[in-house]
Amino acid sequence: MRAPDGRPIYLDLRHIRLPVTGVISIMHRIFGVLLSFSIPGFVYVFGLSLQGEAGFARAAELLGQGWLIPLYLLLLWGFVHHLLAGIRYLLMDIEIGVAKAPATQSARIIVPLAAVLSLLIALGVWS
Amino acid sequence: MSGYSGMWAWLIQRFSGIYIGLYVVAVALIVAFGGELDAARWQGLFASPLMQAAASVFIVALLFHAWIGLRDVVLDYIHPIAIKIPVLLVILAMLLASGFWFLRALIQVDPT
Repeated sequence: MRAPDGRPIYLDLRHIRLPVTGVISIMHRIFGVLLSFSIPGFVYVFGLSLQGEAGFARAAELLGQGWLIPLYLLLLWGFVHHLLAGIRYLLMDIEIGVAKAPATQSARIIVPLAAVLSLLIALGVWS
Repeated sequence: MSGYSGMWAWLIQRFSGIYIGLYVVAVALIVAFGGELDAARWQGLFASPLMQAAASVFIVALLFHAWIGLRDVVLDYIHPIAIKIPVLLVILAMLLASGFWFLRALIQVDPT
């Protein structure tokens, strides 16, 4: 591939090693998109759950289907990751942890922390 | 468009993000540690004036946050205008419909 000025562009995703700061960033994006598209579903079930005893029971029945559990885990992980990575960006906005070393370190901590924290929350909810 | 339009998106994205984080964590804690969750407690929670106000602000913050975020992603990856504009319109319709549905549900809450 070449840019308009003839400079070659190398975009083979299999060979680009994304640094951890890039990983946390692209995950923030992907999870953000995923969470956005879950909004209509959540709003629908939320609306049902507020409609008396019957609506609440219907919402609980809809949410209680076992095949949805992987989706919940993904959305939970997405939310926790998006929240922690978002706090990291907010701190950078007030110039905390912007330099390369601390930014790498915080990304190295947050990426696994978000996954572990989501798992702990899931275990807490389902026990 | 004024030269400040990008600054507004940037600011709104940050403040809405802070509010969404606080609200979701607060509601999760209330639900998790408030005892057995049945229809009466759940609907009573959302019928209270404070929660009605907090939830209304939440859905507005959430829709702005999702719109600005999705718009950024679409503008980064989809370049032909003939695709970009319809995609943005579909996203806008999805978010607006969700917002009206949420507010409608919130107003009509019928505590058991």
